[in-house]
Amino acid sequence: MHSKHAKFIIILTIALILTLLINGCWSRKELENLAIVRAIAIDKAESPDQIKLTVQIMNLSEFSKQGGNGGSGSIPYWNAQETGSTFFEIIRKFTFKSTRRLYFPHCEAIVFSEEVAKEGIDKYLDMIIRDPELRPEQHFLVTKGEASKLFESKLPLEQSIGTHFEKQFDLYSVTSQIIPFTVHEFLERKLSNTTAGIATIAVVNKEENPIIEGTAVFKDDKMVGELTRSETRGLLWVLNKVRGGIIVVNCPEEKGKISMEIINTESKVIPEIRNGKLHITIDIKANTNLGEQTCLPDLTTPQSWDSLKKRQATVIRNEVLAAFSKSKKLNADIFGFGEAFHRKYPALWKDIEDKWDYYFPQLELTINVKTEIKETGILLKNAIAK
Amino acid sequence: MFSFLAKKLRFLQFLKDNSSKQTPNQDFSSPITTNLKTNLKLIKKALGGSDDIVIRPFNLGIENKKEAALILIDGLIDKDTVNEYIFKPLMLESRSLSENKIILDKDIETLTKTLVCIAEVETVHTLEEIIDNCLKGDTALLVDGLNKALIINTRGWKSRSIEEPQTEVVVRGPREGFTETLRVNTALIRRKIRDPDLTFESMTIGTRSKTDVSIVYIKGLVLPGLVKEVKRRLENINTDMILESGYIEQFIEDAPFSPFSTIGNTERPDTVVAKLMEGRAAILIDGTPIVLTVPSLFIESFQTVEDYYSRPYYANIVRLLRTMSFFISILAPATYVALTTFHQELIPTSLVLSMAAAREGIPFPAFLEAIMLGIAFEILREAGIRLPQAVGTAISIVGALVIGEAAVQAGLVSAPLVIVVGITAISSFAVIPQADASAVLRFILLLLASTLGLFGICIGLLAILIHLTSIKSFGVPYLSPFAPVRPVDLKDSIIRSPLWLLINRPTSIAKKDLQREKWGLMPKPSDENNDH
Repeated sequence: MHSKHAKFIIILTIALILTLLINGCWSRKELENLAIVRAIAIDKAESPDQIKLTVQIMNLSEFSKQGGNGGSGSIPYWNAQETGSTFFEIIRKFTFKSTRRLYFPHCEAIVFSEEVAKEGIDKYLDMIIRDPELRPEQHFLVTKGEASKLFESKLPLEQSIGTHFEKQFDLYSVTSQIIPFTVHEFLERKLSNTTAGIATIAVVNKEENPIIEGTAVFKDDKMVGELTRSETRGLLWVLNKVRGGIIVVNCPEEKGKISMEIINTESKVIPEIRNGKLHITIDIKANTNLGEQTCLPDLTTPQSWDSLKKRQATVIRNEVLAAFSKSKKLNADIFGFGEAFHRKYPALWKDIEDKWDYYFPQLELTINVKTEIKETGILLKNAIAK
Repeated sequence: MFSFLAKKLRFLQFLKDNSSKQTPNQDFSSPITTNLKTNLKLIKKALGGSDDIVIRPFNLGIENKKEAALILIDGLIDKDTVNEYIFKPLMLESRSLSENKIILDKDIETLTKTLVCIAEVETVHTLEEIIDNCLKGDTALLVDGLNKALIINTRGWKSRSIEEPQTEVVVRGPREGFTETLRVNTALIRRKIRDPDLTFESMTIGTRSKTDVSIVYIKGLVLPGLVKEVKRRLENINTDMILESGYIEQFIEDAPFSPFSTIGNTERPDTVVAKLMEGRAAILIDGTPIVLTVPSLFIESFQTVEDYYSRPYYANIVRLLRTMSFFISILAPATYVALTTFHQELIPTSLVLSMAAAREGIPFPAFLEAIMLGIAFEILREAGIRLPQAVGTAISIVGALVIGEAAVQAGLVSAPLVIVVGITAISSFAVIPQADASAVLRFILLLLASTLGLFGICIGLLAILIHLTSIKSFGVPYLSPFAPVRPVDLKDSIIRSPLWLLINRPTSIAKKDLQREKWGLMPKPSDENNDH
C-alpha cells in the first residue's frame, strides 16, 4: 500500500468516526424518559381566552407492575391538566409538573368538549396538523360536558381511554352505527367548501363508563347538531361504509321480531339535474342473513321471503331518510352531495358552490334499495316450531 | 500525528523491501557420491542428529557383499512395510540372488526389479531429494559404490480415521469427512468422481514446513484461467510455514480487508465434489481437514449440501430461513436501539408500552445495554468453545441464569433486549459461513444506529451493499447471480428448484459443458403402471 493512500484512508476513517461521535446522538430520547400520551382533551378554561388541556399519560411503573394485564385496582395512567393561551404553550408548560417529556405519536384520540366545539375548533387544528409529533390519524371526538371527565371514567376492560377508543372503533363494523372518524378525515371534509364535518360523540353514562352516543355535525368549524346512532347508519349507507349490523323488522303476520344481519353492501350516489332541479339518486344493495326470529311461522316460503326483503328495504330507506332530513334541517351537507355535483357538473358547480346553503335544503332524493337474504343460519324454521 | 503514522508506514515499507527471500541456510543440492560413508555423514549432519532419524546399515548378499543403508524417520513410516517388504528381501533373499550374481552391477534399478516389493519407487541423484523424501515418510536406500539412491514409499503414520465432520452435520447424507492426511482426502474425492478428467495438481508451499498442497479440478469443466490464477497466487506465497488452510486463504483471497470471506471452506467431500462439478476448483492442504473452494459467492453461505438431498419444499423453507436469519443477526440489536431511542412512533402502541414499562428503572441507555449484552454473549460463546465440553455446559448455565434471568430481575438490563440479543445469537448460528462477518457488521450497525437511528442503519446497509457488489472472488462478482443478474442461475439461489429443473451448471462459474442433465427428467409413472 502506498503511503499516500494510507494517509488518506487514516484521515478518512478518523473523520468518519468523529462525525459519528460529535453529533452526540442528536434528538436521541430514551423510552423511559418519555411520557406517552394516549389521549388529549380540550376544554374551555374559566377565563375566556384560555384553553384547558388534559392529557392522559401512561404511568409506566404502574403499568409494569400489572404486567400489562390490568385489573389490580390501581390506575395505570395520569391525567395531567394545564391551562394557557395557546396549545403549544400548554404542552411545554406540562414540564413544570411532569418529569418526562410529553410524547404524542401514540396519542389515540383528541376530545373536544361540546362547548369548545360549538365555538369553533379551527384555532386548535393548526397545531395538530403542524406538529410532527401529533398524528392526524388520531380519532376525533366530541363529548358533552367537560372533556376531562371522560378521562376519569371507569374503563371496564382497557387500561387507558386511548386503548379503549382504539379498540372500540375497530368494532364499528359490528353495528355500523358509530363512525371511526379521524382528524385527517375531518380536514379532508374541510377542504371542500360544502361538505360538513362530523365527529364521534362519546359521553360518560350513569355507570361512569364511556359510551358512544352518536355523531356530531359541524357547519364550518362549529358544531351545530348531532345524529343519533341509527341516523349515523343512515349516513354510512350513503357513504358506502356499512360493513355489518343488525336490521330488525316485524314478523309478516304474527307478533314478533326478526333480526337480519348485514353481510355486504354497496351504495352509489348519482347526482342529476331533473327538470332544472338538483336531484340525487342513491342506489343501495344489501345482502343479509336471517339471524333470529321470535315468531313461529316458516319464513322460508317465497311469499314471506319477499315480504322480508321489502321490510328490510324499508328500514334501510327510513334510516337514510332520517339522516337526510336531519342534515336538511341543520343545512349541513354531511353526505358530500355537493362534491358529487362538483365532479359531475364542474362548469355548473361554479355557480352553485357559493349558494349551496340555498340549494341543499331543496335537494330532491330518490332512494332505491335492493336487498337479498342469503342464508338462514343453520336452521330453516323457528327452533321451537313443530 | 498523521505524519507520525505516515512515517511509521514508510518504515514498514522499507522493511518489506529489504526482506530477502528466505531459504534454508545449508545447501544440499550436491549429488550423491559413490562413497556410502561420506553420504551418510552428510545426511546425518543435515538432519542434525535428531533421535527420530534411523540410519540402518546392512550388508547386501553374502559372497559379493556390499554395504548398504536404509534411511527413514521413525513415526512417519509404516514399520511392517519396511521390515517385511524391504529388509526381509534385501537381507535374506538377496543371499540366494547373490549366487546368481544378479546383484548390483552399476545399476540400482535392478534392486527395484528384483528385491524391493513395493509399488512406488523412484531413483534420485541428490542428497536434498533424499532428505526431502525422508521427511515426507519415505525410506531411502543407499548402496556403497553407487551415486544414486532409491526412494521407497513407506509412508504410514498414525492419523485420525475418517469420521463424521463435526462442523457440518447433516441428517441425511454421507457421514464421512476429510481427515488431516492429504492422500486420504484425495482418495475421498476420487471415490466420488470416477472421471479421468478429475485432476490433482500438487505443489509444496512453505520454505520450512514444505506443506503439500493439491489443486483439484475437473479438466472439462473448470475454466483454464481459473486454475492458472489459483496456481499463480499459490506460487506467490513465500512464507516459512502453512499450518492450516486459513494460512492459504489469507494469502490468496481477493478482498483481504473485507469482513466477507471470498473463499469457501468445507469439511465434507460431497460438498467439494458438488462444487467441482459446478466448475470450481478446490485446494487441499496436508495437515487439515478443511478444504478451500474457489470461487466462492455470497449466496453459497446460505446453501448446504443437504438442501439437495432433501425434497425441495422443506429445503426452500430452510434456505429462506437462513437468509432471514442472516439479516436478523446483523440488524436486530441495531433496529432495537434505533427504534427505542429515535423512532418510538414506529413501534405499535401496545408494544411500545410494554417495552417502555420493561425499561422502567434501567440505569443504562439502550445502546450501552445492547453493547454490554452483545459483548457478554460473545464472551460466553468464546468461553464455551474453548472449554472442554463438560465445563462448557456449566458456562452456558451460568450465562443463561446470570445474564438472562438475574440481570433482568436486578433491573440491570431490560427483558426485551435479552430476547433481541438471544434471537440475534441463534440467528447468527444459522448461517455459520457468515458468522464472523455478521458479528463485525452487527457492532458497526449498532454504533451507526445509536448515533443516527434508522438513517444510520440505512447508510450502513447501503455501504455493505456497495462493498458486496464491488468485490470479486477469482474473477466472479461476489454477489452474482443477483448482481450482475443471471436469470438462469436464480433457479438455485435463495430458492432451489427441483433437481430435474436444474438443467445447467451455474453460468456465473461454469463456462464449458453447461448442460448437466437432459430436459424432461420430471418423474412420471408410465400409463401401464397406473392400471394396477
